[in-house]
Amino acid sequence: MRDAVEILLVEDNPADIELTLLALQAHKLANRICVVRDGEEALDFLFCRGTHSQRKPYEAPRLVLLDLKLPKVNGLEVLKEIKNDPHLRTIPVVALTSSKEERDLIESYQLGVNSYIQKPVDFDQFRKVVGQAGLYWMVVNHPAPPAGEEQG
Amino acid sequence: MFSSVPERRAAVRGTPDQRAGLSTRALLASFVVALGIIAGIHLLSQVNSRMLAENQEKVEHTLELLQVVNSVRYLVVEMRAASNGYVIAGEDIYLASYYGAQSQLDPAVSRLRGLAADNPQQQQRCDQVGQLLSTYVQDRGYVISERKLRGAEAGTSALRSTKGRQQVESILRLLSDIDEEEQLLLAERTRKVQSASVRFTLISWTGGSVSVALLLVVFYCLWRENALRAQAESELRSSRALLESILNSMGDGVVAADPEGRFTLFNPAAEQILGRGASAIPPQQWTEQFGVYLPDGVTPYPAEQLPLARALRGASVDCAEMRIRRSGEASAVHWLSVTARPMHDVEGRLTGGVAVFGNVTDRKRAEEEIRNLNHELEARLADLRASNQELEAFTYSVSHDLRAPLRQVHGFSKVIAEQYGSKLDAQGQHYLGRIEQGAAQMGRLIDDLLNLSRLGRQPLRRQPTQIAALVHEVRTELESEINGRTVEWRILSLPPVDCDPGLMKQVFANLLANSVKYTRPRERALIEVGVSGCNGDQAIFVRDNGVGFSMKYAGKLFGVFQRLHRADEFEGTGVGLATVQRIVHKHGGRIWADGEEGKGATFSFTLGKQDGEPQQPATEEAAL
Repeated sequence: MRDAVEILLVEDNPADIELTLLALQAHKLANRICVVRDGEEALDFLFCRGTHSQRKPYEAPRLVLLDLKLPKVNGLEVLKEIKNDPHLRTIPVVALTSSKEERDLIESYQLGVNSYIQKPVDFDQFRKVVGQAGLYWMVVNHPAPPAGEEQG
Repeated sequence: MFSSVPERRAAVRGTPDQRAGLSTRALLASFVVALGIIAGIHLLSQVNSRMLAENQEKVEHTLELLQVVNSVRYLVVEMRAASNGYVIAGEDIYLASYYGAQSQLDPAVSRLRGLAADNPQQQQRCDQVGQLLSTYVQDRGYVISERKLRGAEAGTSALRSTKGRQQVESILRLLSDIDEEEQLLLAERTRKVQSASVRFTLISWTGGSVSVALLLVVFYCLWRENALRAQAESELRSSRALLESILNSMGDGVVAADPEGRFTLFNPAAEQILGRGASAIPPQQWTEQFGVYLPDGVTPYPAEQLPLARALRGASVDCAEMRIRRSGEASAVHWLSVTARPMHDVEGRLTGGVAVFGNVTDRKRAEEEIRNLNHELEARLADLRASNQELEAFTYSVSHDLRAPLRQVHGFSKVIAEQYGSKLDAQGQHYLGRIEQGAAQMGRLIDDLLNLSRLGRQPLRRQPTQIAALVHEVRTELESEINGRTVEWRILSLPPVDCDPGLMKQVFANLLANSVKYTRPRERALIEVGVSGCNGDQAIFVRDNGVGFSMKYAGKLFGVFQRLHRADEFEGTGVGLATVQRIVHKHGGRIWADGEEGKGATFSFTLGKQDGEPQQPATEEAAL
């Protein structure tokens, strides 16, 4: 059983990070979560470069929870990079953001986001939503076969 | 084209030129014919006169002839008597009378011959007479000489032998014939002459009458022409008078010039506007003379570009604007609007140009004011729009950015309650509860505010909507709120409506949620949805038998954050009705409420045909 990261959480606000982790913990999904604090780090992580150059490509996460409002490189940019890369595009990306701006919705879907969730203010709701999303993508959904393993 | 009644009538009769040509020819023809007839008659009369004269000659001629015939007759008879007498008596007196007669015979006969020369038959007879006479004379001469020489008996026998009596009888007969013939001829001729004369009289009377008639007709035509011309002249005069009066009374100036630039017309208004115009200023000097400038007010108007100058070259100019400086004024303050056209004669040759212009100084000033006002308005409009946009953007971003910290407050207070709640006493837990509630309420407020603000930015997407379906959807969604209570829904027939379905659903969601909420104390809640009013003024209403409200506070109902009930009685943000009102106004409609405390409330609204925010009653608050 590899020690792989299963969920990549891209979020800059520490309080929001904590809440999200709490929500995921409540549903026993918090085992292998990696948190990155901005868009640049997210891309470094996924492309195994920069500060994460020691990672292996075939260790791609099974789910990316992506906030859209990020410093340095913003969420939509990250989304675009992910979906443009032939190896990474199969990873489900769930936008988890405060914004319900139509502009963000449209562009996210145009760029190929798999799901778009607006973070509820009410914490109970928040927990429920995060749980539902996590369970769905991690348990119910069948992921794409890992490209790296195929090619060995 | 100057179309007056007289001219129109003339057009029906044919143009004056056409008519003139026609009647002139007819008149000339008639006149010539009349003259011809008169000349003809005169000629005929000459002929007739000559004929009569000839006849007269002939009559005289005949009379002469008859006279001569008589003379001859007498001479012959005389000669017979004389010669017979001598033969009998032998006296010289008879001889003298015989020779006297005989001597006259030859001249008479030759005269006779001469007179009978025109008629061959008569001529023949005359010749015969002549012959017979000469024979008779011969015989008588013989008889006389016998008597003279040999006496009476010889004479008598000579007499007997010479057949004198027969001769004389033949001669006399011939003479009678001549006489008769001549008389016949005369009668014949006279008859002919008479009939010719009668014919001539007839012709001359007829011709005379005809020519008189023609002349009368000609006279009449000329007279009528004259009358018409007089009438045309008076019409011309009156139309000219009208034109002149128009030109003199017009407010606009009218100036006409011939191709050389000499002014042919300069009406009083033109003089007033331009100042006196000397008649013979060449076009090059017009700018200088009248102080004409380009619209900038400082550049003199190029003389050859002046509308009238251009018209003289065949161009048409419309509403050219220029400024003029009148004598005594420091600058060109007056504005003129000039329209010029070239003038052509019927053959299309340029005969000059005419310019019409008016003083538009006031209009220009008004236009400028309007332009300025417009600019101001636009500027203000731009300002307003900018500030509106700022406001919307501000509202949105504020609400939006407030969510994250709010989530954190709520979230962590929840977590504390769950994980450390047991470590807190009842009061502590209670305080945590308050924090949670506060955060939750704030969340709802923010959501509602965000919603309200979004409405301002969204364009309305109208389409025919089955609002009955919307109502049913909302009802289904409210089931969880009803939660087992007895709620009777009376949803009457609702017509399809032109509206934005999404927004309309929100309207019903808010109104029905309110109804559900405020009927909570009721054993049996009754919620009605229907249409009231008639024809043009139909309104949709939502009625409930809930706690209602006092009409005293009706004005506050639709205000943002305004509530008529305490938060612990009925939860709410006070934004719901404001949102509904915003949506209804965006549709161009009205909304109002009727209520009675303890009995219930009815909310009615109309939707307009056009989008927009209609008059806002003073009691309503401005929407966010």
